[in-house]
Amino acid sequence: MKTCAAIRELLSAYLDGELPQQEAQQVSVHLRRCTECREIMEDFRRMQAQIRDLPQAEPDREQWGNLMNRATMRTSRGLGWILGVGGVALLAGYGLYSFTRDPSVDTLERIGVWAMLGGGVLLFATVLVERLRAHRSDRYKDIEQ
Amino acid sequence: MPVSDRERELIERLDAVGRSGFAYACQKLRNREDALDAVQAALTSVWRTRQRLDPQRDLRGWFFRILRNRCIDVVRDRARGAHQTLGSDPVTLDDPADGLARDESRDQLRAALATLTEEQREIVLLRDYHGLSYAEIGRALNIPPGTVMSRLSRARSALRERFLAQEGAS
Ligand SMILES: [Zn+2]
Repeated sequence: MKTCAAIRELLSAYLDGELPQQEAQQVSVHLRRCTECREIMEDFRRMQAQIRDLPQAEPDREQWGNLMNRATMRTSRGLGWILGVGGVALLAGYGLYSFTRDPSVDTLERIGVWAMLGGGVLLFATVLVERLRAHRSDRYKDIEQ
Repeated sequence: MPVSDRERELIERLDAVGRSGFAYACQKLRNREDALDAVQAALTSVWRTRQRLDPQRDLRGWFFRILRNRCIDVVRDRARGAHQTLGSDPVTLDDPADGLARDESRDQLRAALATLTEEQREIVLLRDYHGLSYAEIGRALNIPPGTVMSRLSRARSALRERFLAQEGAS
């Protein structure tokens, strides 16, 4: 038979339904015949109900939608874009390169094409570096910190 | 790439958990913008580890663990930044419902909650306000289940004492 003091230590877990069955049974039997412990239990119930009913701070609708979109963005999609755009750029670059090797093309055209090529490579590299940097600066990447 | 059913379900759960987390972060940080930032960071890292996660079992505990660490970082950064400006420190205010709508019938409970230690108030709120199970609380606070049980029990006993004192005083 448990004392009132021992029962009182279990009341909180009893309230939450987190006691093993045998102990829950002991508490329930005790509460039936002990007014003082029952009063404590009632106070716990009342407090729990009131805390549950406290108003919750709620996010602004639009802000929340944007936040959820950003948080659940798929990096695989980002990678897909990089690969896709990269592939097109590579083909275009190769085409332009072959064009400059053609002996019938004059110097001015050749310079223009090289400038286009250089610009494309530079743009692609910039985007890549930015993405890598954004990825690295996220300190909460690993859930098991 | 189509969104799979599993991912759709996870997004729904993250939405619910994130809203609850927003209320938690507002209470901790007392600033809606900071709370949104913290929640987004926590949601993002849960989302990134979604392959390794069992959403039925792990989601809420992990989310609150990350969110809580994030909030602690924000508070610490603020304390560092406020080093020169002595005076008001918004972080040490002890009204858990500050910034939320006021209601006289709840003031006694709020006053009682405000007298608890941060550790006691946090565990009571995680359980009763945010609805976390003991396993989830253990994961969120990084403590064993037995400690959750005893800490919560002591916190509730303390809360009850203060609450009855409040009632007696009015
Ligand atoms: Zn008793």
